[in-house]
Amino acid sequence: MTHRSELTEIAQRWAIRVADPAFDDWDALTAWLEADPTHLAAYEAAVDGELWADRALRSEPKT
Amino acid sequence: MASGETPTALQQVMLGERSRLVRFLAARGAGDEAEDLFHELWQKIASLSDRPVGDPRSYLFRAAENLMRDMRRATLSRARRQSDWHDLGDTPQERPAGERALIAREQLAAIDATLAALGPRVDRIFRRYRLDGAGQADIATEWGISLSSVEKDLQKAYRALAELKAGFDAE
Repeated sequence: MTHRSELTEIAQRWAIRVADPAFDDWDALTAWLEADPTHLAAYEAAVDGELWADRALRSEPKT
Repeated sequence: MASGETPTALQQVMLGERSRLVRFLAARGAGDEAEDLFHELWQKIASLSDRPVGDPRSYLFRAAENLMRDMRRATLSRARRQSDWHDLGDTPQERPAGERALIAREQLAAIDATLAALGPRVDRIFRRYRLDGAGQADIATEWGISLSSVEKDLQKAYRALAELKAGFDAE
């Protein structure tokens, strides 16, 4: 079993990779998500963090 | 397909990738509803104008990923509305707009400060990646650094922002 913080790190790396417009490793992402039921929640938490920051930064007045 | 129309080029690719897409949707949180969501995706793709896309296969998986993100957003906002309803007893309403704006400003200031503390390169690279939608390879070229340096910088930013968010969520 993966240590929690290690899982958080791995999930975050997936979120970063998927965010790249050139990302094309969907089968590997599928396999990772299927490997353990905790992976999906960790991935979604990483994506939530990313979108939270995006929303805030996009509301920033342009200077 | 249901209406007997000719599938678009993208839909033909979709048929070829059907089992992979359904498997992805299932793993991505759709579970038993993966087939239904595949159908929803099919309808969405049908409504697009039939123009060529760069890499059809990747485009479809991206669309599937976005569909799952939309579903999660809907679930989260439904849950939030229900909890507001509970908190406020018989007068369901969201937090007042003024208070929401204040929280948003506070969070934005904290995000700016967190990114600034990681140094100008991490700050700029994160914004270029997230706000401009630049790819890691382009960013590496722009800065004259390796791909793995770009990835490490992004990891620093994501990690710090995740911790910041956890702090706000706990409030």
